Amino acid sequence: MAVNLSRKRFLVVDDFAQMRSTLRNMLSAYGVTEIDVAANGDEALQLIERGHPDVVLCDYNLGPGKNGQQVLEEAKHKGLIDGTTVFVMITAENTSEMVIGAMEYRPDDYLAKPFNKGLLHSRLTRLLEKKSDMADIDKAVRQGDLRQAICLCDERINAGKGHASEFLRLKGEFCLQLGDHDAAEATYEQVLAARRLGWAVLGQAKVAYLRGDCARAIQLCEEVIAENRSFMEAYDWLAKALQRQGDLARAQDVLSDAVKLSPMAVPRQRALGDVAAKNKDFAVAEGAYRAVLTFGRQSLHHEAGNYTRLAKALSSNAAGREALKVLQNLRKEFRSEPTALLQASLGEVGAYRALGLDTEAASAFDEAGKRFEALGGEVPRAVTLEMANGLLLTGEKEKGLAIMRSLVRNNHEDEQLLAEVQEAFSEAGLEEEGREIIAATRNEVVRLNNQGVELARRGQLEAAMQLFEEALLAMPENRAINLNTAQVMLAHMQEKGATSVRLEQVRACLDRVRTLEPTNPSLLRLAALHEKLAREMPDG
Amino acid sequence: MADTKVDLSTLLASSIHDTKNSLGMVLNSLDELLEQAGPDGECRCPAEKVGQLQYEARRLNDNLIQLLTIYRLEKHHYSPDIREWAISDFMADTVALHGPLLEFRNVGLELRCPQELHGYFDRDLVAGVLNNAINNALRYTRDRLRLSVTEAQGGLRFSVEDNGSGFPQAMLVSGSGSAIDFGAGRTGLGLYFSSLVAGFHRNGEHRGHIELTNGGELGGGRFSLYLP
Repeated sequence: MAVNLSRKRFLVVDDFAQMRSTLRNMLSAYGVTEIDVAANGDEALQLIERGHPDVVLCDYNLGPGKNGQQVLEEAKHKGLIDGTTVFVMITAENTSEMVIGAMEYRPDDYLAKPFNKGLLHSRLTRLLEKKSDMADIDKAVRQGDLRQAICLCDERINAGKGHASEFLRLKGEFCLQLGDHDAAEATYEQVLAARRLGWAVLGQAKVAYLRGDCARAIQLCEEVIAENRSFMEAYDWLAKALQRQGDLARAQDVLSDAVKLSPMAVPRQRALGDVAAKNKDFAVAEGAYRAVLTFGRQSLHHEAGNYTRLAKALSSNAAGREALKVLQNLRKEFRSEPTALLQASLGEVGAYRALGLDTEAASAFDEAGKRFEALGGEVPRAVTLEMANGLLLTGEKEKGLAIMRSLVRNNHEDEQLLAEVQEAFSEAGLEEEGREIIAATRNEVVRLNNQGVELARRGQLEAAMQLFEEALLAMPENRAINLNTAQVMLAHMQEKGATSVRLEQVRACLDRVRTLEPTNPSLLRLAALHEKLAREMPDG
Repeated sequence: MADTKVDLSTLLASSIHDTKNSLGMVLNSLDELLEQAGPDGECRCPAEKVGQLQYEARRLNDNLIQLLTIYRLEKHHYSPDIREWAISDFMADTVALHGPLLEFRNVGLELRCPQELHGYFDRDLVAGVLNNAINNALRYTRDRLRLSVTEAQGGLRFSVEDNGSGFPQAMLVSGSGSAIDFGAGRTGLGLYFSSLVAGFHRNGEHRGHIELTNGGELGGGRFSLYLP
């Protein structure tokens, strides 16, 4: 398949004018006419948004400000570029330093300087060919249709024309995302039968972890690391499996080793901080959270929580004054964001308490309470949990319990959150009561949901609809309730005809599920049904 | 990691020596050019000289990359990225990179590689090995160079052959870069780097290795990299 480079739109990003013009000259020599240039990361992001380039050639080192990896992550995260854009990272030397992030944030290719016109042309042509080769898979992924994406991978694999491992790798990831562990395992086995490759062994480890077989996951991850000490992703999964097994000390060691090799990986530093804080090793937690702030500053990982986590570690480490300084910076930097200010207040409660300043702590908590009310429920889960925790600790138990119940109701299937809720109860000395509340609230949701499903099964769609609508008022974020509300409403409309009000309600439910879990297997089917009914509406 | 352990500090010293020689040559040429600058401030320079400068600059760059990579590999700071690559694509990159200089020096380049061949390796590392071998062959060849990739010993063999006078006997015997010869610009760095990279590629019990031979169809030296 011939690709015509000259018709493509290019963006060249480099902080050196000399390099920008060299690249521009190379591209012009291939007949390219549409070339934008940017001298730094922010400019690059603006030009990506405005110009929708087909190819981005971006240097990794961009001087002060964002680096190339941060540009890529932010562009992908904000949806400025999708799978059709070719992103080439130009590096000063070989690539290892940069291979730090998750797969989804890897560039399409790395190109080590210096290179000549011929090599760049050879690479670009091939990358564009590959993109057009992958266009259908990419489209399926964008539409959330992973089953279709897997079918398309299978077509390539079965064609047996070589390069199958690339598609097997994709297929494995799609299967994992879908929660189809058996298929993922079979895929990785197929790879390993031909050759032992680190990512396939790690794939097996992921399957084991997701099945709850932590011992096997740990063993496989250790094998991967023994074979390649700088396979960073293996450290992450090893630490996860160790944590789940309750071996927090070793999890911390593993992550400490990992950040020595790749200090700039922000999520990994955060994970280290979290596990160290749980181990009450606040010095390590502090170091890790500082690294999160420093390396995350220019990236999409920059958020208020980075300050509050550091402040919390400092408060626990008898450095309350310093914690207050950190929170002061948070207030400055995020002054127009009410949620961040709420987080700052909550952090200050802890800092003042650590300093033994109870009056100040109480007034900070007052401020937090007001901010929480003013936000009217539009607060991220972690912050809500912290607020409830504060209420329990200050003796405003009923208010605290109400918030905890609502958290459980909205997330009754989320084991990790439920564990955090339980931890917060324990911290407030309400371990047993908390356990009962979680179990009771959970059962209440399950019962309600089953009741609705049963009504629908017996054909009493009106009653089922009413039940789910009421449930949704109490737990608007609950995934199962949203899905079932949509399902029952769609079934009702299929029988009795669609109305625009109901269609809108269904759309809202599906949107919420999409935000919570984009690859939910039911989503695609329900969305298709919704679209069909909307199309058939008499007046559109 | 390499079959023959080389003393790193000796390697470093000889590489610095070689790098300094190269740089000295580049600086001298630049001095000459400036001295010959006309009254209009323009430097005129025979293309041959620019070609020589380009060759030296590339060698300098390759030396530095090799040293850095050796350092990283030994310190475990390098994460080898072993993936499946289409050999024809990979070799097309290699030819695209070296083509202009070869053409300029009137060295005929021949590429032999089957279309549908695939292999598992770290692209940057293996490219580094081939670049080194090609630059080396370019220094000693009369006028021909052949790159070939074949299936061998259950894996792949990458070969760079020339029609020069071949490798000195001492190098053929030791095979892995212990022959350090300042005068001829053979520091052992390239061979040490190559055997390190080869050894990093494993498949089950098998490890990659390199091989130096003389003769063959072109009659000169032949560098081969075997990957399992």
